[in-house]
Amino acid sequence: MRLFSGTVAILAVVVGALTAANFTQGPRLTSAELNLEGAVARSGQRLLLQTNQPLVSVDEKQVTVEPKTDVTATVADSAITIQFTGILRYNTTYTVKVRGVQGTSQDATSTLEHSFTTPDSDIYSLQRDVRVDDAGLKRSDTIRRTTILGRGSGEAVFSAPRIQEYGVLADALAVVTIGEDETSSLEIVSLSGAAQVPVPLPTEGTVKRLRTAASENLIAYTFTSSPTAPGPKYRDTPFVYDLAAGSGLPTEVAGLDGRPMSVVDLDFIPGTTSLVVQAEDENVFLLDALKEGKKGTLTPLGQHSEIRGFIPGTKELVVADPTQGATIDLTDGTVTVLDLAESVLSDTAYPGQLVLLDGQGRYARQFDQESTDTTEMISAITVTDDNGSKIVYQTPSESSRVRNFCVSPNGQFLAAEIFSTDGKSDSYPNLPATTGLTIVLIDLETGASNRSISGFLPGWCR
Amino acid sequence: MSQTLTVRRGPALRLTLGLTILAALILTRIVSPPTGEAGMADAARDFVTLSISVVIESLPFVFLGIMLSIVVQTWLPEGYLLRRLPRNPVARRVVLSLLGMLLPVCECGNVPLARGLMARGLTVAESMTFLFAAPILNPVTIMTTYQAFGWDDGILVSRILGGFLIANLVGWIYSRHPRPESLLTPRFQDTCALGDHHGQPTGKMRRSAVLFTQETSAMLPALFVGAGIAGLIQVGVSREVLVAMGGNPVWSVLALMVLAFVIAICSNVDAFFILSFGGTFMPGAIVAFLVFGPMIDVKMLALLRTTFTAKTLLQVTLVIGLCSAALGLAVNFLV
Repeated sequence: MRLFSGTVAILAVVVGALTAANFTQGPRLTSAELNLEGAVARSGQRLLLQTNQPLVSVDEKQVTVEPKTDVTATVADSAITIQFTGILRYNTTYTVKVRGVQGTSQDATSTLEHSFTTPDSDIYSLQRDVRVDDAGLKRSDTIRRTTILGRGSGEAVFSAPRIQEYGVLADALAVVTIGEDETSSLEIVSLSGAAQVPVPLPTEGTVKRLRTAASENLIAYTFTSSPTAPGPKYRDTPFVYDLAAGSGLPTEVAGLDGRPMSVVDLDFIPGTTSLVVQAEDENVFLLDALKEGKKGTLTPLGQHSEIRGFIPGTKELVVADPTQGATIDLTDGTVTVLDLAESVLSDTAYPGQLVLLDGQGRYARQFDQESTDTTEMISAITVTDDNGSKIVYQTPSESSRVRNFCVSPNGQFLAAEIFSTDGKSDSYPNLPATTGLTIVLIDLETGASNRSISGFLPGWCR
Repeated sequence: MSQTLTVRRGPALRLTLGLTILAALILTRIVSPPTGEAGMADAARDFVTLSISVVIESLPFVFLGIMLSIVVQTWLPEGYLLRRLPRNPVARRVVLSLLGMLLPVCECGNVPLARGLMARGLTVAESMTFLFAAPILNPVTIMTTYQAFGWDDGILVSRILGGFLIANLVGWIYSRHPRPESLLTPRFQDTCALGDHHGQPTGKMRRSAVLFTQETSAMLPALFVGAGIAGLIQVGVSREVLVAMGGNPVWSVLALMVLAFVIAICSNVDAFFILSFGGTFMPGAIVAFLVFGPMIDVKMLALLRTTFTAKTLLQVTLVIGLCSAALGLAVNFLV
């Protein structure tokens, strides 16, 4: 009996102590979930902080994120959802702290803290080689893969005698190559070692404007049949190829009249199966690539002189007209006329490509201007918003200029193609380039441009 | 002689009674309208459903336990099990607490089996160790707990370790008891005293039949009473009240221990049952539910009452309850 009583007494003391300890302890973090790949690709990603007990509501003032990032916070039962308003930076360690977290059933509060590091980003580039080998044959062109933190131009993932362009898919590349007769071939090249799959083309002809929807395993392109090719004739007709479809055949996109369209540009809406096409008459249409070819599936978006891609992390299409640009929010059709602030170089240089960086009118623009030392032209890229304008990049010498640039999917970097004025043309029939092209990554926040990659057509711009 | 007569008449009488009840139930089912619960009040319908569900869930395991008990008492050679157990009492109880790995029977089936083991010479403390460890430390329970929770929040590990330690603690406490036979009901003491087959029919088949009758007549009424009480309490206790306590690290443990005691669910399936409460209740509460429930619940107490005195059961319930609460609170504090 004494043993029993002693045991019960000890157990009672233990239970009492644990009860007191539990009552004085606030909620604790039990797990945290975030799609890291999604966080650097799309805005609005959610960090789910699961605690060990139901919580009272939390507001944004209680949440701090380092580096500073805008968030919203909601509580559902025992979980706090932190939603990132924008897209996160690559290779960055974020620390999220939620102070004063309180359970619904007791007064004790606690601070929840969670750190995570965002992933690096793959960067693909195309290296063309115009040299000939000892046997007199042209050396192969190469698609290479590296990362922001990587060194050099990375590993070769595909080589062929003449590569026109490529697009990046989830686990593969879509590659357009040019044959000796100047006609195109389109292939799906696996990045995991699987066999190469040719995409059947309707007849002999030319593939241009290759676009990919990586997350949806879709590709789109325009096709023009050769004058001498047998069968139906196509002229810049958009086609869609679904890697997941059983048929293995691309389908053409029909216009409002049900006949194949002729387009001057096309682009996938990021993260969707929807496609925006611009017809020859400058009319812009929205369509679902998986319902292509059916009458009545085109949604007119108006007539615009140019489509300029999407604002990073959004489904807002940027269009340009002779007098003014606009954005079209494709989630609800809202059109917002752009009223952009003047760039620092607007009065002194020749304006070039313009890329909108966010929905608040922040934009990057290329300018070419005469060097202060010589009469040669140099290139600069400026970033402008309502607070002012600054030059974030300038070509280092008169012998190099910016050819093209685009913004990374998370809006952190610009990838600028720099060409040498004394480079030799490769004379490719489509997307010709010159020797000595390099890609420079420009950090939009710091202006640092320490990373350069040999080649052109950065995967971010595809 | 009178003992022999009683034993011989008993089975025939009980068999007739059982068959009559069965026939009455079948007849009732046949003449009942398609919705058999029509006309019953909601509470009554819930009571019937909940009670029957406990009986249906437990019955196969009770019969399996009775069969194993008969095998141990009648068909295994004398001393077969005891000879294979370590001589050291602590090691002996440790081995017995792992016996469930070989005899994966639900807790209600372990009662007749433990009775059989005691009749074969196991001490009261040793049988208690087996009785409380086996429902948790058996492959079916471990697998279903893993399926339900994986390695999340240490629930599986806490359940296995907690079950093992608590069962051995109870065994250790009662191994020090000066008169262990006083822990047993007088009726079961008599049964044990007849363990040498004195006055029992000769022949293994006949002895098995008698044992089957004895065990079913001891177990089934207890099971029905326990199931009835479980059904009654579940109808009476508001589940909303229990769920409302789920967010508190202390009250959640208490709430789920009460729930485990009331619903008397079998240890082989309790992990899937409590999984649906996973989002509401804290991990420590779930651990307390999964440890306390298989050892002590209303149905189990009714079954154990066939063997142990009320005072013993009260003491055991107190020790196991405190241990389970401590375990649940520790998990809530640490995990």
